[in-house]
Amino acid sequence: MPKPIIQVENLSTQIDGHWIHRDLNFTVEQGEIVAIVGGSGAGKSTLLNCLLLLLPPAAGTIKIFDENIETLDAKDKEALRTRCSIMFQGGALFSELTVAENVLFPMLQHSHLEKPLLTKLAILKILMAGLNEDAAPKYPDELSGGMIKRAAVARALALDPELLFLDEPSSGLDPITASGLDKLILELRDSLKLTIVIVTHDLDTLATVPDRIAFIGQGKVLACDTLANLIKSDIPEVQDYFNNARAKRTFGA
Amino acid sequence: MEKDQSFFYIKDDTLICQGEWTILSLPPSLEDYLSSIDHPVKNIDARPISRLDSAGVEFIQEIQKRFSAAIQLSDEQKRLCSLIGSYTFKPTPIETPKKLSGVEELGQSAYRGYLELLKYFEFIGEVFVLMFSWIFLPQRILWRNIAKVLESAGYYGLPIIGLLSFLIGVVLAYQMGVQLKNYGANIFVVNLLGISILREFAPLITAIIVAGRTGSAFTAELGTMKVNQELDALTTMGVKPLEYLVTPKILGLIIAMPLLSMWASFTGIFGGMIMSKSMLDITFIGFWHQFHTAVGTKQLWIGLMKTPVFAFIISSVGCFQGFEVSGGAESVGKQTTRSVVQALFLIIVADAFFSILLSILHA
Repeated sequence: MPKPIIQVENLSTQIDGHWIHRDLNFTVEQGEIVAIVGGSGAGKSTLLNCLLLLLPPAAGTIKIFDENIETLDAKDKEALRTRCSIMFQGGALFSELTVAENVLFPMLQHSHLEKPLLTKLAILKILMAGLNEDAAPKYPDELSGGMIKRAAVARALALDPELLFLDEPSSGLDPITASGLDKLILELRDSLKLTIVIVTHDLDTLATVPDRIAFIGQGKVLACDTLANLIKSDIPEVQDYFNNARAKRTFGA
Repeated sequence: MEKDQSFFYIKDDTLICQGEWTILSLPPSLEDYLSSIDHPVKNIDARPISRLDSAGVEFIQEIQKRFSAAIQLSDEQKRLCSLIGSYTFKPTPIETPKKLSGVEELGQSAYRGYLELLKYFEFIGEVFVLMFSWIFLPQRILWRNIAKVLESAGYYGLPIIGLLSFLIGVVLAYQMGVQLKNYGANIFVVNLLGISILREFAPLITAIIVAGRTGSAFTAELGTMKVNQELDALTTMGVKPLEYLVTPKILGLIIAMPLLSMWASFTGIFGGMIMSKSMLDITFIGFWHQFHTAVGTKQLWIGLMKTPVFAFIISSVGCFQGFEVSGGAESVGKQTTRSVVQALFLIIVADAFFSILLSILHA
């Protein structure tokens, strides 16, 4: 019986007086890859911010690793944060550090291991993310958009997290790199027992990577199921999303 | 983490690993643990490890090499090992930059300073050409942007400039008053206050505050826009960033600074007046009368004449340093510091230059 890693119950969030979510329910189990999809402004990123403990919910409970994040004290929150990591949409790399230093940074903050070994691990993470070693001493402003994404993935993998959030990992990448990244995500799940939550619009990624897809609309998770079932769904929003010309070409439906 | 203190134990000739072997839980080195093993290890059993990550794999492989023992892994662990093993790399490609000798560093920084100066001259040259073109095309003047600068740099600067200038007036009157009282020359405090505040203190205090408040804001704003590629966006739309962003700032500040300096003169004299009354018993009427006869409007004009020059220095240096930003957040901070320091430096130099010029002219 797989245990739930993320449990969101009746979550409501509010930003500047606007309700983003209303009674949203969402569960992710261990070793699962769940994609979050939905139209622009549906509240995908806001949900991610809630799960990352960046935005306190207005109502409802969020449990991560079976711990209610509202009742956690600061120290437990820190511990929880070392077990999760995120790749931000724009990379959010530290501009004054090189790629290698960016990856090393969380390691040096939290690990007791010696620096030479950590450096070796950092290089390993950079290679795993599909970058060349030559990229390690470069600064973020010397990298192309695709390289920034991969450097951000490398940094997210730095502490071998149990729970990984990816915000639009393949947007702006060429198809070869994007499918390489998809393969990497699956490989990481299988070998590191990672649980992964992806926010994406990439239909190819949706077709190959996630076990389940959560569709967000009207401030709720309207449906959370496998791709095959979502395509057959009779909810109008989901219909529009998965049964347009572009989606049909990708899914071959 | 503490509960998994022991990472392995030995049974017969098998090293059995247990607990969490992760980057967060492993100790700096297993040397101390391993050196206590006195008999040969033929097998390593990694299967009881509850959580293994890439750091743990490195450790296990290190131990395996050391004892040249056989290793037993679960299927998941095998996958992880083969995933990590599939990447081959040179050990440490991270280089530290070469240290320069003192002389080299001095030479390089001097050369960089020289290049920066050339670039600055090029920048103000372009600005002048643009402003000159406005004389013939007055419909191109961006009054809206100029008004924004007048509001943020001028109007919102009034309280702080007024307050500080008032306090300077109080301090000056006190310091001079103490000396003048000894000679019974109380009334001459008015002459001293009038000349020093109108000519020097009001323009300088205004310039210093404006450099800190507004010059730095110009740099940070333009620098962040550059980092976000907003300047490139403007250029691609056929809008010159220099014309749209820089010239209104310079023109706006040239208009705002004399007004601010006037305001600073007023509050500074007012502060002196209050101090003179309470310490030197000079009535407001007496103060006013003496002020009227001893301090001519010439002093005010000399003070105000400097302010457009200061305004031009602050705004041009602020905008220039904004354009010099490259990379990210750190660069914005660095250039903002440079902008304020250089503006203040140039203001003092310009003020000294004015003093020399006026002494030659016997003004």
